[in-house]
Amino acid sequence: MSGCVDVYGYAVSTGGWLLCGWAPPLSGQAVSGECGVSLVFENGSVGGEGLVAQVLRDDLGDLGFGVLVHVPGSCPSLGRLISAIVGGDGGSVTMQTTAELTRADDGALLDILQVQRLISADADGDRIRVVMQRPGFSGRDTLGQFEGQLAFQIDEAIRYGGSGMLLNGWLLEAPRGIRQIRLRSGRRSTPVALGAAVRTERPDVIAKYGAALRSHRVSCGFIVALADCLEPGEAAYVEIEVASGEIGFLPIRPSVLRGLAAIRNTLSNLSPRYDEVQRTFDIIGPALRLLNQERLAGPRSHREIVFGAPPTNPDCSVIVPLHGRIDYAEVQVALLARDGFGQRHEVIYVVDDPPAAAAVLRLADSLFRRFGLPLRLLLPNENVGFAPACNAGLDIARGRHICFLNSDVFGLQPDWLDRLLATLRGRPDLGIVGPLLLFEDGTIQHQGMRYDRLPEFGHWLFPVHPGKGSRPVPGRGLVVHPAITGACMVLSRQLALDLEGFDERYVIGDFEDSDLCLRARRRGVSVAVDHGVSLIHLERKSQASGAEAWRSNVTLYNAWLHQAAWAAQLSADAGQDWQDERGPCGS
Amino acid sequence: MRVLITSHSHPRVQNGGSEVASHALFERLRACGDVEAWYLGCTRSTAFQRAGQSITQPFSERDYLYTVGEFEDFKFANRDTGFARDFRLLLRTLRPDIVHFHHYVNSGLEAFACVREQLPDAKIVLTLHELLAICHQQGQMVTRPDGNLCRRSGPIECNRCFPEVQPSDFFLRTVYIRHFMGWVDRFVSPSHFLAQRYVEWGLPEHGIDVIENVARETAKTSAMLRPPRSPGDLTTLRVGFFGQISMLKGIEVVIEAATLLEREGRTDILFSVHGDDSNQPAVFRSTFRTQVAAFGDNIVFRGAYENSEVDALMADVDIVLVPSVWWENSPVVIQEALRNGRPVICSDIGGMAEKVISGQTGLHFPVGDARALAGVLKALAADPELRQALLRGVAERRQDDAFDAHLQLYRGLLQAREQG
Repeated sequence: MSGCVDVYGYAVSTGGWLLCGWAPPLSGQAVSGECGVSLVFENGSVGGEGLVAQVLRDDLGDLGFGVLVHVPGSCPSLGRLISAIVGGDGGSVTMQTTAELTRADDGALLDILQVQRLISADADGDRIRVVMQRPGFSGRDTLGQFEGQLAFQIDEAIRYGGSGMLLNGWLLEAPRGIRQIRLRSGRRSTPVALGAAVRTERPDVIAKYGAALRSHRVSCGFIVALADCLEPGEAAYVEIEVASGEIGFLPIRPSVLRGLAAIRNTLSNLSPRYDEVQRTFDIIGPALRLLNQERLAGPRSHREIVFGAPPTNPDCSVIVPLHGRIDYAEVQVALLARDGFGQRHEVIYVVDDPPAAAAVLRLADSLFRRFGLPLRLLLPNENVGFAPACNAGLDIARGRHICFLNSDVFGLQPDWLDRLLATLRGRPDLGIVGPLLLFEDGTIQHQGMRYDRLPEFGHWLFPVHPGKGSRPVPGRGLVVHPAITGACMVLSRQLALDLEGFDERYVIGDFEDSDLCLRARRRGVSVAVDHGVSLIHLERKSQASGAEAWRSNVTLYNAWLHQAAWAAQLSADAGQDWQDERGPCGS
Repeated sequence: MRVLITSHSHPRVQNGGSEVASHALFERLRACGDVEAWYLGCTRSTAFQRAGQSITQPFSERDYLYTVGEFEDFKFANRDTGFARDFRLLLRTLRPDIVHFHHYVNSGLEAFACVREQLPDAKIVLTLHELLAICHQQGQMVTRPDGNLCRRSGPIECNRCFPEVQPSDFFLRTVYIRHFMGWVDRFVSPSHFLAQRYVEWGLPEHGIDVIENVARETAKTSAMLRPPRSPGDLTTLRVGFFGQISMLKGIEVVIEAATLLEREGRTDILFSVHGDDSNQPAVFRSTFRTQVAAFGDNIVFRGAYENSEVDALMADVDIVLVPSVWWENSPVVIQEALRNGRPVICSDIGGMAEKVISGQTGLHFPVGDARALAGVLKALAADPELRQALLRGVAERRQDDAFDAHLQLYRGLLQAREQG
């Protein structure tokens, strides 16, 4: 049983497709009111919940009855319409197209469909008339018409991935006030499903609007990621359709935030715990991943400034990302500049702190003149984060080996690096080796990493430092671990290059070290701590404050990536008793 | 023997105890026939600056002055690239056998490593003049802001005085200082007290010699001009305070003791206060000046004095008061008092208690205790025999020659070098 489409097209003001044609006589039950509609084009289909009303047609006789269909949705370029399938619980009708099919859009379409007076005078007809009479978006905020009924605001609308948008806002509404919220851009219409959004707490909104709207739901904030919702060159706006069918518009001013600032803004008002964690990052994680990718995608330019004459064929390249406390370099270099270190090894500081560049250069000049240790300074033109900074250092490194070293790690034993290198050379099965790291009071900061499931954070596996804060046990020798910290690790340059350095998807500086170790182990080499070599690693005590919430959420985001990549491997690791495992490197 | 003396300051720029002592040592070395000596002082004033040169010779041929550039005061790191260049050049030019540092402020700790690098055979001596390496609170080991005596430093303890500085930064400060002190061949401390504190902090005990500061040579002291009065004939006890008018020097203890005695109607114990309050905080100064205005008849404020006047001023007192409420190292005023034949009444702590032997060259009282000080003074006023005994003790005290001890130290170091 099939009918036919005579005229169709897309009308931006209605936010969807309109098509007019006829359906066979016995289909009246199936083809009326709200029902599912699927439009099949040459190159794909669109569909959704549509509205169908009957149209009076004298010309059809027994052939059937006239229908007018509206399907809200976007208008992708899919070619010519082939057919429309309209139906509900009572069955469906396929409306075919013929060579006489007319395509018209917007005003032209609505003119052709000047059949409104012939639209049935029932409830279905009324509803579709309201849709066709909707005013188009004029660029103005028209939500004021819903005063006392709802209040809605977008605080930040961050573009990502070319055509995606992260909306960070809030909504207060009287019960059952809203039928649908859509993000509109050109001919795209994307439902904003708050039921599937990340909810945020907005006591500020409740304080201001709660009484007027008789709503006290503090979690009225939301963050949604809408992929592929923007049409190039077209403005974006929110369209809110209330239960009565009326429409209000809110223009969107795209955020100026980009890169890390955008990530920071998105993560600053969240505190997901337990079961919310996985859901939260499943919603916003893909958008964050694209934001981070865009941040690092631009052409990266680094200036290299060299002080002195570093060896051309160094045994090891020590790569230190420097950010914030540049004065740490003064102590670090003073301690390194002993026993011909600068003739055997090269030291590369990656100044991942562009505002501090001038001060670092002045300090480096002074350090070289005081201590005579040749220094290579790499100055990225923007703050790139731990992994990209280390990788930039790796790109220019010339050593047979690489030592990734944090700027707050200090070697009090003069020969610590040579000893780690000797350990590495002595064990072909060993891929990455690190030292025992101690706090300034002599207690353990790091002696290898394990993974703990944290219920509070979605039962994900987080790297932990067993024994942290306790006194080290002497004479442990070389101990293999699932992973070691990147605060100080030594590996061959070849392995570092084979692994393509640290994975830059991790933002700022978490989990990259674990990830690198796990990738190395996948290649069949082991990872170990040489307890015979110890360095000091300071742990900065940052004031716990709300302003830093975003930073712990970045950690959660990184954990989300890490979990997705390594959950299976880590579950297998968990079966091993690493604590006592000396492994193939054990002594 | 070729000796380069360096100091954190220069007596021509500032008249502090350690620069005066280091320059006195330099002058006496110059007077020795078999010693070639040079002096390198420092200044933060730009008055002597010459573009492109960090070390100049504004005073004399053997007397150098370094104009300090970028200096990091927390861990005494000298970031001045000009000094790194010019100090190396100076070392290569002078080729001293001994480089004797007085202090590490201004020249910077790196200078020790620099000497070792340029002159591997030269011996490095460092005289410790206060507790700066151990205590960030101006090396006083007095808590901030309460001013209590501190007996132990460390990252956690120091963070209590300076909550804005993380314990890890204090740790790094110590790492940095100790690292460079590793190049020093011999430490000199003017007092056992200071030496002990540095041993507790981590310096090797056998590496420190206790040698008193070399005093500036004076033509005549007042002990010769006007000997102390004989106590038996006297009805008054004249007590003198000489030094900076500051909280730490215990000026409040003096004023309180004088007030207590006045209230008791004692007119036989008279205080005279000599010193400068001009570089003190404004609040302290105004409080002090208000106190001066309200002074009773038994105490008088005489104001600032030149170091060259001290002998004459001490001639007018019977005893000298050193009531500091911090440890002190080896206060110059004690040396001055003893050289003028005056017994000293001092606080019972640190370098003061060490340099004044109670019952012989003076008396001690519990630090900060004005009532106890008043008691000691009353006892002394009532006991001419005790006063006489103290005068005798001062006159007969054993005097080691600090300069000879320095020469011996240098010769010992060079002898050891030659013996390999």
